[in-house]
Amino acid sequence: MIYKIKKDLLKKYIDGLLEKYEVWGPKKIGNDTVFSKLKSGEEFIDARTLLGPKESIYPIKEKIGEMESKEIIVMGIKSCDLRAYRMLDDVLGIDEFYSSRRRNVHFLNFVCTEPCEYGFCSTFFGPRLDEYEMQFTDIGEYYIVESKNDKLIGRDFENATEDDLKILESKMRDFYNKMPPMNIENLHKKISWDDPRYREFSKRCISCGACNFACPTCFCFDTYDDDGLYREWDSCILSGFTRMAGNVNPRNTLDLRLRQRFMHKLRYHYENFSYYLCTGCGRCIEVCPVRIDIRDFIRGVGP
Amino acid sequence: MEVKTVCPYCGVGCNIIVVSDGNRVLNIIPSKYEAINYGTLCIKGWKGLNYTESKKRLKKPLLKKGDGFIEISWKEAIKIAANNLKEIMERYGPDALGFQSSAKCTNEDNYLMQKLARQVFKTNNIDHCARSCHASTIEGLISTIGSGAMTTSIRDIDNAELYFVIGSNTTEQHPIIGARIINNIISGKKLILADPRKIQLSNFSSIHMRHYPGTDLALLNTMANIIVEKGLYNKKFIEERTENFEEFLKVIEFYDADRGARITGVDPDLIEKAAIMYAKSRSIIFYAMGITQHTQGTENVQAIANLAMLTGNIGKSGTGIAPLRGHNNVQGASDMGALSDFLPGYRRVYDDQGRRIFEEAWKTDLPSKPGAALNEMFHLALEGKIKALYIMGENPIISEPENEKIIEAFKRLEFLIVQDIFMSETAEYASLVLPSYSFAEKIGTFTNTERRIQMVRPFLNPPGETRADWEIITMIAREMGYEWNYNSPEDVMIEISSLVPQYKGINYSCIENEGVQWPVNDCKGTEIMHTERFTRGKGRFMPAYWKRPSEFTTDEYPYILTTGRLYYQFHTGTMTRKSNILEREAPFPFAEVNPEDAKYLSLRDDDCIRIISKFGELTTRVRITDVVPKGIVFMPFHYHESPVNRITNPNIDPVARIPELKVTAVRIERC
Repeated sequence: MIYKIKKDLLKKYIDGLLEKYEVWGPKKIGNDTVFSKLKSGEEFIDARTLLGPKESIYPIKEKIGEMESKEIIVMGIKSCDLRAYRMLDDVLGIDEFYSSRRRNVHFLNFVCTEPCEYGFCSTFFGPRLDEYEMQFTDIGEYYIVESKNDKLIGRDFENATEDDLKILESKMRDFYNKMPPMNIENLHKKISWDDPRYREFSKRCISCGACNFACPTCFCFDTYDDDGLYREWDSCILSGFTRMAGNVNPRNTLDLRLRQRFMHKLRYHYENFSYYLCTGCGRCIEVCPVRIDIRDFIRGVGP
Repeated sequence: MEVKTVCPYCGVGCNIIVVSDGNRVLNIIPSKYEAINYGTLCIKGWKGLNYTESKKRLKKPLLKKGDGFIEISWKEAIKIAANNLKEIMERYGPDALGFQSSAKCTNEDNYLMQKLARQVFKTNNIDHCARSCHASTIEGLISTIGSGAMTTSIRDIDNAELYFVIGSNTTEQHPIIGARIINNIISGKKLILADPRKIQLSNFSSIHMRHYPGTDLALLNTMANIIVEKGLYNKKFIEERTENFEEFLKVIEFYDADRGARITGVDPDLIEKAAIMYAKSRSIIFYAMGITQHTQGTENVQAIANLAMLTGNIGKSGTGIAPLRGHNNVQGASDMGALSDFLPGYRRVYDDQGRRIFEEAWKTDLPSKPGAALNEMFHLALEGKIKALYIMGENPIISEPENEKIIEAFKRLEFLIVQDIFMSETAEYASLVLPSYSFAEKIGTFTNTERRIQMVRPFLNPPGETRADWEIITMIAREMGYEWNYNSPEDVMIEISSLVPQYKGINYSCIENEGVQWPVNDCKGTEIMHTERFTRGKGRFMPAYWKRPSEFTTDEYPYILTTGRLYYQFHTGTMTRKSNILEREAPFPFAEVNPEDAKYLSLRDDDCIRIISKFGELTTRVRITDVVPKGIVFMPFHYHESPVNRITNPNIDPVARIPELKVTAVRIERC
């Protein structure tokens, strides 16, 4: 069904959800916007955050064996992130600790109607998804709400009209005009093992791992014993990621590790799953201290 | 809960937002704060906060009993602390006590620690680790330009045309500043590098001068001489704003390019090119321990100030001097007067006028003789002159030179208080261990490398019975009968803001959202210092002749050992080594040896070697790499497994009393 809700009623709607659920959403902390638990609808803002809410289904650090199955609602997630979690499902879906949490999270995604500074989602799935639970699009006075699960539809929702849908379509046309998709035809065949740019990137990369930590599609973790078994998000940019016994490392220099990152996202994963492990969210560019730009890499221009 | 606070590692002071449930950190988000970290962090920011929630945190006050410790109550602990300190003071005099403050603690903690030493216990034996890192910066810059801090801002890096980085591995130790430099170079700016080692910034340098360790002053003097010879100096600036130029000329004329080259081992053409480039551009000089940890540390820093003044590269946008601070709050701890020779706000203890301000405020006479510096306290303890030490948030057994002597000194003490968050190597020797808050539980302020005073806010519940450092110190002062009526760190800041001119009028509401850079007036900060006039009035050229470092190679000790930090570890590892990812990245100590030396010594990678200096010996593994030039060995100092400070050079700069950790003559043997 397609509904709509008046923008100023959104706070009330969230307050209603908060009576029954834990609700996450973007909110202001000082001058920053971060994803976190909401205390009231008042806190919610429809804005892109620097990092997505990946830890809602996949905690940064968790004790293995502790299963959580709290029903939570993640409100205001952007489509780039939500699409990415569908990709995580393909890899982590067989992991009970992941899937038990995943089953209990409702994602209510908010469609971007303006391109963000670093994003290039139009190249992949765009700001509006086909797979969603409830999808909100700002059309001015209202949000259009496309729903595939009416469980969370509240009293203040009305049916959307033909005219509303026309506004939505024109908003999307505008979006694509402002963010024209890049050509990625046969990209996986063009991504080369011998690309000299890996070495160029390695000269400036400071190994912070942010491109992995901010990436909504990255799923690698490390496990370790710290009075109990834990797993924690890991980064393929770090040398310990592949170091083996005897201090031997098949990816012992930074350029090889950067190569792994690009090859995995744009080639290996495509070969296994027929899609690129990237949704064009642009977060890896924004959090990179030295602005290594995956858009340039895809376009084939030098660093 | 979501809390905006400041990363506890280096002096860059990245703003972070921590999400927690009160007991665990759930998420760390870099702030998009353009002035500092623009939405980015280094690996320590992303992965380094685990230590705060470690199960190994100290939770109760501990008293030494036999070989072990017993848990006691705070009431007993404070009584024991105060009684012992008091007794020792009464029996041996105030200077039998020593206090070591911490650059990891807040401004408020540091202010109270030095106040405890001076007001309550009447001694200037108060110091902290700035002594081992930027003591020479304080002396060197105060004598030349009047203020021992970065003259410009991190944001202002974008306005320069050229960066001269000497003795700083910026991308590893101050990664977010290093990244900002790299971004600027990629967009067309230039970099001159002076470092014996090949570091990441070498990838971006137009000129890399790999001078011998300990020849910085000769290099800087030679550059100055070339600038004068070529007529590239700023005559107008020198006439209007500086003094002592004639004396300066007399000294530097000795350093022609050939002499400079002979001393430093750098090609004379390279030095000339570097000098010309520096003089002709709007330039900022960055430096760190490679300049300061020398017996001529103060002169090195003065030579940097000389160079900036000579070319007018100071006091305007895109220019200046940037001493990069190693700890989150080493700038603030120095500002607060946790130094044996300075009262808060850099008033000398022997300056009667300055001292009177505090005597009136604290209603007591204060000692006018400078106290013992950090390492001198250990020597005095060995000699039996210092009988009790109170160490807050420091681990000198790993971080300071000649650590075997420090252990010996601890054993000779009658009383040792260690206030820490973990049972550190140092705490093992304590008579009394006081468990305190980490930054994760604290309210207060840190002052970063660009003088920015920033709010620190709590995001975890304090573990066990831990207490805030300011509170513990206050309890001891009250037990001693002093009326310290602080109810919160903000009360302490109000006192600071009335007594420290740089912090004038600061309160928590004016730094609520964004920190300000001192000197502050009515909540308004100062981005670039020395714009109209220098803090000391006229800038003063302070020339000096280069002297050979206190250690040099001999047949017996044919290699030079230099030390430093690694990107993944921090200091003595009490924090980083508790993070799974960080510890995994750099799990063991090593010594970098040049391939030619390795060949000569028949060494292979990972071989066990023994490194021997006049001061001690240790074993470690070899890492063969051309990062180090022939004849030089490099070791990180984080590891208790190979505590390099067992063998480092303890000779000190006579002015700043900083040890020459960067130059030790050693020999290498196979295990």
